[in-house]
Amino acid sequence: MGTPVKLSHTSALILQTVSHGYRYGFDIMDVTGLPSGTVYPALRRLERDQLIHSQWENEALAEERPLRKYYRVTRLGKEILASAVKRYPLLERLAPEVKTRGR
Amino acid sequence: MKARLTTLRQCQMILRMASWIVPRQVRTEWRREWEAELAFAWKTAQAKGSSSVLARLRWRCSGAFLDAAWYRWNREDLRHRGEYWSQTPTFVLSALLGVLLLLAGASGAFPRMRSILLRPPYADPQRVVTVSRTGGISSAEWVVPYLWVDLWRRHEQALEGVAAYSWSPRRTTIRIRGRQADVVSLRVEDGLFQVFGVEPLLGQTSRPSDAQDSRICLLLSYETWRRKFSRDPDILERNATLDGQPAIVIGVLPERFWFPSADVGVWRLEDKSSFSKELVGVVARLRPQVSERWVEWVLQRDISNMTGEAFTDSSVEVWPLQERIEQPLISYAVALSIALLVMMAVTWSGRFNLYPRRSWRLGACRWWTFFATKSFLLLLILLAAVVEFTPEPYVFPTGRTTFVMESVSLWVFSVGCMFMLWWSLKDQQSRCRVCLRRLVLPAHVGHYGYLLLGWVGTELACPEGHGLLHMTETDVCWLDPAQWTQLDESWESLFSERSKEEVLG
Repeated sequence: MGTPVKLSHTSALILQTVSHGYRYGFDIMDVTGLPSGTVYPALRRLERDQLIHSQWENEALAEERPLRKYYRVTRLGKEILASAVKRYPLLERLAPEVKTRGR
Repeated sequence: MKARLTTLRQCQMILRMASWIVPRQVRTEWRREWEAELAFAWKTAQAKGSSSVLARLRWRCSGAFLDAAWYRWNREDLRHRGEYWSQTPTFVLSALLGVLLLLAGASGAFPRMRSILLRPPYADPQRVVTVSRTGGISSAEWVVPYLWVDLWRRHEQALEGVAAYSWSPRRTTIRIRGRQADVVSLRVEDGLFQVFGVEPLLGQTSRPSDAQDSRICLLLSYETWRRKFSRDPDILERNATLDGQPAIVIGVLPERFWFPSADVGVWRLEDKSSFSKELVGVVARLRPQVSERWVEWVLQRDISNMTGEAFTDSSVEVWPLQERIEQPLISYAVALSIALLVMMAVTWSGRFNLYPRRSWRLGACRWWTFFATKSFLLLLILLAAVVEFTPEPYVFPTGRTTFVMESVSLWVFSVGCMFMLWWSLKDQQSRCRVCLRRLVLPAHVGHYGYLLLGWVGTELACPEGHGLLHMTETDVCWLDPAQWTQLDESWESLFSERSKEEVLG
């Protein structure tokens, strides 16, 4: 019964970026060039709509720095992203390349 | 190294400040995430060491304010809250009060309404009358030749005082010590304000006996003095000009005094000679214990005897000023009563079916109180708007106000009354009979093809789940136009927040 989520171009780009393996807020800013005032509110919205899921990283990875929060695309997020890619054909070209190493 | 540390501290300070915007329940986690990102970025920046990287870090941290603001005021939440609030009865009453306050601000605290409703600031107002010639339909019939005023002045048994004023107020420019104001001015005979018995706020109300110079003597209304000349206490001593001619302000009238229209801001005092060949309006003060009808008869007889005027299709009319001021209000009251009667007839006919008859008393009291308050505020807004913003809707004859103008404002008020009451009824009908919220989720039920066999209409639900309203699509004599079904507690779970979220997505 829920209304289908319609993503703006920016939100779709951020979702695409997360799905390509750029999982931290500052990393997303680096690769998309979007400012923090756009990226973080968009991440909050995507999480609220259950398109992404956030988690604190493992202590083992932290190496004497505070634990960072990372984001992963959910199954619903992948479905919505697929329809967004059809809607915004330029998204594939604008999105960064898939990150080869994990988080 | 020191500069880098300062950048880090600045970033931390920015995050701390932004965190105050974030709601308390998520603040710690929010700050932890940002500080972790900052720490990571700081490490990278140190490795690179360029000043542009540090500046970019500061810029990124300042974006935390927008992120924090999203938590506090994100658009969806605001929209939901706005929608929820707009359904409440408090919203309607607040909005109406807001409109009333706006009108008060725009008009300067309802000066016309106050001047009509409050007692005029002069002695024995019931003895102040206008004297005119009536009978014709032309506005020229209302004025009299100045010669008549001179004749009436001699009639000391009937009149304590009489004075003339010009038929035509006009726009003039008054300039006092570099300050210029466009105001409506009126030529009045010296002595008019003694007839009113009005005490000035500043100065005097008649030309000084020792006035030798040719300067025009002016009296300012309180509003002109307050608004255009910022309550200048030394205004009487300043040189002035009226349309370029030298003038002097000899007095300021009290706050609620107006004549013959609230729009007149300056009275120009002139002696008899300047009116001698004019048709003028007349104000007089009756002697105590003298009836208006007798004065009418006496004044008309005097004119007939002295000038041979026949008065075949007209007569002299003496009309208390207060009655003239209140007359349009009576017209408005009549228009309002007619509108109320029509609406009551419509309501009683069952067209609106506003409230279930067998309902608890306190609920009915609340229901009708809200309806009465809302309707009262709507009508008050309409009255204030018509009185304050229709051009001179209630002024007695000055040459500028015609019957047509009065009827226009009256028609606007009459039609407005009907519209306001109709809207109030419609709004009331589409509200929950328990919590008074506006009903939502309209759903069409039935089919037009089966109109004779079944019910066709729209169903609306209370957002709190108190009940459903069934409104028929067409008026059919065997169906109630609107039927309220109260839902019992077993329905509560369907209207809980979780259910709403599931339904609305």
